[in-house]
Amino acid sequence: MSRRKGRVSKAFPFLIAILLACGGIAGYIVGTRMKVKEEVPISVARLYFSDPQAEFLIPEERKMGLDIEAEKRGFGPGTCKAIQAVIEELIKGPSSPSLAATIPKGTTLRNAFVSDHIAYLDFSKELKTKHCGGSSGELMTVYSIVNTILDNFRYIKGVKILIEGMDVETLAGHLDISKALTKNDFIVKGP
Amino acid sequence: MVRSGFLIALGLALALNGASEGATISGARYGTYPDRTRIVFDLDSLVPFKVKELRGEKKVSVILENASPSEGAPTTASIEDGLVKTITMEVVEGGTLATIELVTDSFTVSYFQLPSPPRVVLDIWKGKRRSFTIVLDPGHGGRDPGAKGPTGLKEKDVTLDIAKRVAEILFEKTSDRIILTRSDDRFVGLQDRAAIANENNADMFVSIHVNAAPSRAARGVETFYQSVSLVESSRLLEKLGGSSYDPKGRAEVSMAIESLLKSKMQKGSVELAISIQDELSRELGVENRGVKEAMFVVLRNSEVPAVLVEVGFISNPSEEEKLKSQAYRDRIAKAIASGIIKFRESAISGGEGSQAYEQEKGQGQ
Repeated sequence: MSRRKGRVSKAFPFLIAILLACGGIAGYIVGTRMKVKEEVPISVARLYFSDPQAEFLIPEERKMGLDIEAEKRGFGPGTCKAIQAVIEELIKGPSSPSLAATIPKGTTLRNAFVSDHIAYLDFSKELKTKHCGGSSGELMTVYSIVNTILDNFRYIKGVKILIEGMDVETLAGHLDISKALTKNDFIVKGP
Repeated sequence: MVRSGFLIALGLALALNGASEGATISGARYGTYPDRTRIVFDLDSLVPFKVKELRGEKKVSVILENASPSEGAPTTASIEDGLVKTITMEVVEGGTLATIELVTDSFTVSYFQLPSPPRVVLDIWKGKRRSFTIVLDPGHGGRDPGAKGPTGLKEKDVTLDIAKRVAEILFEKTSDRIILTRSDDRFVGLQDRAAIANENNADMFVSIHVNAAPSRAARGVETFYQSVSLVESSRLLEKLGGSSYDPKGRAEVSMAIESLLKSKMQKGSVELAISIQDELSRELGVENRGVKEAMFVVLRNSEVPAVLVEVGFISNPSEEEKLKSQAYRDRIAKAIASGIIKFRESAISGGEGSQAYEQEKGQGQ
């Protein structure tokens, strides 16, 4: 008996050590998980704004409150939501004071959907009615939207702008937006 | 040197015509110059008109649609200035036909409609000249004011005024036919503007606009032409999104012809854009933003060399101020007109790209 007891008493601290170790590992894992959850994985979107001369679009990196990494790589159930989030950041305007906003104040994105690699962006009427006009102003607005979407979402090949659910010929009387548009690299400057 | 006279229009058969709601031709005038005879039809409102050269008969006919001459006036006038013999007017179905009899079959006709006061001006030039058809397109109009300046200047008013000034300069300096897509404050659709150039088999289409941007700092002049690369990529996109059914053969041949014509037209458009942009930036001494390509509706639908000129930023307070000035508008008009004249001169002297285009047009006539 005494021998058995002795064996048990010898093993006990060892068991405790194992238990403690397991608890530590588990605690560590839980802790790490918690930490990951605390700092939501940050996605960075590239947004295009106008230079003060309305000649070039200049990219600005924007931290998103939403993980859009999977949506950047390929089409998924979250793509439309991700597009919506990126355009909402674009509508907010640039953080750099040396850049100009391209979307008229009061404009909202009513809906975004994707079909056949084309993103359909349905804006509220302000995009047209509150637009400053001019060829340059119009080019900046349209291509800031088109380039921003095509740059962030590789899966998307073209962008079609709608106003209040309808097809429109132009925003301000120059640029043809009756069809989906592709990226315009001529008016991009910067990294 | 200049011999002038008045022709008074006839009132014959006015009642029979019954076109009392149409325009009235209050009279016709002429003036003889060393190289041409100018004939002016004065109206009380603008009307569509058609000019026909009847070379074999040594005649030029003008139909003024929906217009009838004022009452109690003579039907013919004798000019006899060595080029024009007589002018006869008669009421026909749909308007008034004016027949101009000439002494020779070697002549060139140019014409232009001026809005204030409303009149149709015809120049009959001695000898055969290369006569271009130039369509000037004052941007926006009517319910579409275009961009607005900080103090309220409207783009549509500036573009119309400048286009009229360009037209008058071209009409004085060349034997060209000048057509305005609008000569008053009215709305004209973008595709209709390009169609005016296409239907008139024009040699060039020049759309005149005033620029704007969200930032008040933006300034300067720039000229756009139709983008080929962007159109190509948008076409590829259509294929991607469209059905896989492709009726081969006919579609490909027509695409090939289309792209050939497009490239010819493209070359003319680029040359015209450079020519106008050079003159504008030199004359005005403002920021030269250069010549650029873009998928603009008026350019995209045009089948002739076509450009869109942005003469300044109405959103920039100091440029808006300049755009209000008559003298500044004159300088813009002068620059656009000389850009057009330089382009047409290089076309006449057989500038490479234009030569092929000339031949193409020649065969069509």
